[in-house]
Amino acid sequence: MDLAPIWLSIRVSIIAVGVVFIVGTGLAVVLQRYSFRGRTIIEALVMLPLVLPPTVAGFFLLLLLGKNGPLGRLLNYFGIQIIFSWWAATIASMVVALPLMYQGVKSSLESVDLNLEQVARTLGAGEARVLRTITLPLSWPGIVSGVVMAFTRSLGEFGATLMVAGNIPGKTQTIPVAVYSFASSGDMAGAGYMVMILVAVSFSLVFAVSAWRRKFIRWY
Amino acid sequence: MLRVQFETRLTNFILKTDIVAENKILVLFGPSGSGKSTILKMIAGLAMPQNGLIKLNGRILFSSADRIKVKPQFRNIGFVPQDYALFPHLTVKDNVGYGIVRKINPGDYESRILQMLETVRIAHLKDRFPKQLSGGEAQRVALARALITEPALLLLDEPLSALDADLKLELQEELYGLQKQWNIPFVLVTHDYREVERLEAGRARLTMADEVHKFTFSETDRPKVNTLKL
Repeated sequence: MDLAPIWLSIRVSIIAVGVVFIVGTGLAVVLQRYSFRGRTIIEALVMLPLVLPPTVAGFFLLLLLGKNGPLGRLLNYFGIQIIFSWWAATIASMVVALPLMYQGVKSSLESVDLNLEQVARTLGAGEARVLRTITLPLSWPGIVSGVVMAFTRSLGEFGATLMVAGNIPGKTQTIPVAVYSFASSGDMAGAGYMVMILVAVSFSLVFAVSAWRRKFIRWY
Repeated sequence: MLRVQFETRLTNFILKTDIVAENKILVLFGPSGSGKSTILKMIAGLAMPQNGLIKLNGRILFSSADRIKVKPQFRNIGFVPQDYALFPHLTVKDNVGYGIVRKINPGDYESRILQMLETVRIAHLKDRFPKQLSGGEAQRVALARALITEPALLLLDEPLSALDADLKLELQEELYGLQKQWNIPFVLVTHDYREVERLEAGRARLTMADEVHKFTFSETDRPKVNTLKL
């Protein structure tokens, strides 16, 4: 069995989630705590990939990163071609995983009692210390489940990945793309292995985070 | 000495305050929803009045005329909110230590916390989490957490209302003792007149006239000394 799609999917998802973790948490903190013009628009844009078909997200990425796209042209100038590389698959994963990370952190932030933050301020803590010692530790369950949801979503990303990264075995063929590829060429056993691995990894992660969350909540 | 004089428009009424708190307990009382908690928040810097002046020991904390708004973290005011707001993820010890800087000497930090816990008689609870505390114990942790920072003023929002009758008396007496010991103004808010009667305290009564809620010292409620009857 060719393991390349598995390693590729894991590599793509780890990098995508690494970026999404920082961007998603940052966005959630900023959008939830500060009000400014355009806040709602930014939030809607972040959430959009959740409801759009991934092929539509892929289409926009193609426009942006393609040879004639604004970003694609700039990168091309430096001799970098993103489209049909595994970086394109990573970017596609980021876009579809971001709303899940964002939503997880946001719902946790909303449940943090503002009184706690206010008391911390009266005890001499500035905004950064309040965030680091009160807000984020209490949002931990949402951050962890956001990471897991983003990671599993990223592992399972198909539509946008196919649009921007294509289906190049050993190069851009991730697990979901391989499943499609194998199954459509009649290799049901090959597709079945991939399916089993994907389901096993995703199930264990989602199961683990649910179990952990229950324990965490009991603590307090 | 604390001087609070402001006027601010809230949702349904205008809140007017004119109170002075000396180094004793000052009780603000009036029905729920009359703006008592809002006054405490404004003194602590957690909310801003529209105009007026808040002055503590000669230092201006808020002045609409001079556009001064000192942030809560620089006001040096202890605040014990109604539900105590203990940090649920920290132990009693870490809750109490939150407001003091972990200096170069960690032993000093530890001993300050332990000493404070002993003052409010909860040293045995130091490793518990807030969820494992009773109402009276949580109250003491909140008091310790605020007092350890050596505040110039302590604000208490309905400190006794959530406690049962026996505990109420006990903590009332303890508040009285702590105030004597720290010798700073304690400003306490309550909706229950009976809570006030037993405290040796000055009082500001709320008068409500249609659109305006006014906290001020009225003739009959001039700060006076009651003997503590228990």
